[in-house]
Amino acid sequence: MTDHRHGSEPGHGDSAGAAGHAHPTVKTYTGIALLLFAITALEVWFSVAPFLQPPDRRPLMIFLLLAAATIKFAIVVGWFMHLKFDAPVYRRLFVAPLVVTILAEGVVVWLTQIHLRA
Amino acid sequence: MTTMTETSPATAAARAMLPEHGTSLGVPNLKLAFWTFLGSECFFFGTLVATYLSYRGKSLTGPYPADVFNFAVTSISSFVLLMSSYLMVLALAAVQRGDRGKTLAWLFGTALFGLIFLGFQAFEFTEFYAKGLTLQKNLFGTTFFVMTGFHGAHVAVGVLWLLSLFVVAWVKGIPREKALNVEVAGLYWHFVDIVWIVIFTVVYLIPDPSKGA
Repeated sequence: MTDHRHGSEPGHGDSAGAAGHAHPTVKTYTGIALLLFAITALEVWFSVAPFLQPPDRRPLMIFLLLAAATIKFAIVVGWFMHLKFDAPVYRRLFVAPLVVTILAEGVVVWLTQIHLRA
Repeated sequence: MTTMTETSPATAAARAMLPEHGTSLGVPNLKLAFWTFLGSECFFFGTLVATYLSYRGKSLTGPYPADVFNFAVTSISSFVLLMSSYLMVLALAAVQRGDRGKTLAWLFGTALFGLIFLGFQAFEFTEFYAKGLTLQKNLFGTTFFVMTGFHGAHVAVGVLWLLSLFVVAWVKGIPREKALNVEVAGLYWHFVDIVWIVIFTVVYLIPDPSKGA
C-alpha cells in the first residue's frame, strides 16, 4: 500500500488532476473497492430477501435497489474516475448529458409504462 | 551543429518536464475530448436502457426474463467487472509512481477480468439461446440482446485497448509523463463499469412484471 500524491509533480499532464488536486491513495482505493463489493452483495440480497418479495413491498425493493445502484455509480464516477477531484469542467461535461439522459429516460418510461396504460 | 529539425537530449528532457501544452481551459485537450465522448455515450446507453424499460413486460410470447436469467452467474460476472475497475485504478497509480512491474501486472489483471466478464456473457447468451430466446423471438429478446450486446462490444474494445497498453508497457514502458494515456483508458473502462451497474440493477435485479417461471 503506497500513497501516491503527484499533484505538484511536473510532467504529468493532467493525470493527477488539472489544478494539481491529489488523487486518492491506494489504501483509499482498496477501501472503496470493498465498499462497492459490500453494496453489490447487499443489492443481490435485496432482490431475494423474503420480506421484500410480497407485491405490496415491491416499491420498497425497487427503491432500495435504485438507491444502492446510485451510490455505486456515484462512488465509481467520483473516486475511480476522479471526477470529485478533477477540474470542474469535466464534471459539467459529464453530469449535464447524464441529467438530460435520466430526464428523457424518465419521460419515455412514464409515457410508455404508466400514462399510455392508464 | 544542431539543425532546425534536431532536438538535443536536454531540450527533449526539458519538454518532457513541461505540463500539458497550454489550452484556454487549462486542461489537456485529450481528457476534455474524452469526457465529452463519455457524455455522448450517456445518451447512447440511455436510449438503449429506455427502450428496454419501455418494452418491459410487453412480450406476448416467452421465454420471459424469469425463464432464462441465471442469477448466480450474473452476480459473479458483475463482481468481476466491478473489481476490474479497482485493478484499473491500481494500474494508473502504478504508472504515476513509475512502477513498471505493477503497471504490467494491474493492466494485465484488468484486461483478464474484462475477458472473464466477456466469457460469462458468452455463456449467458449461449444458455439463453438454448432456452429459445433469440434476437427476433420477442420484445424482451430484442431489447435485451441489443442493450447487453452493445455493452459487451464496449467491454471488448476496452480489453483490446488495455492489452495494447500492456504491450506498450512491456516493450518500452510507459513513462510517468505519459500517464494521461492510461488515465483516459481508465476513464473508458470505468464508464463501461458504471453502465453495467445500471444494467445489472434495472434488468436483472428489479423484478420483471412478465409471466414466467
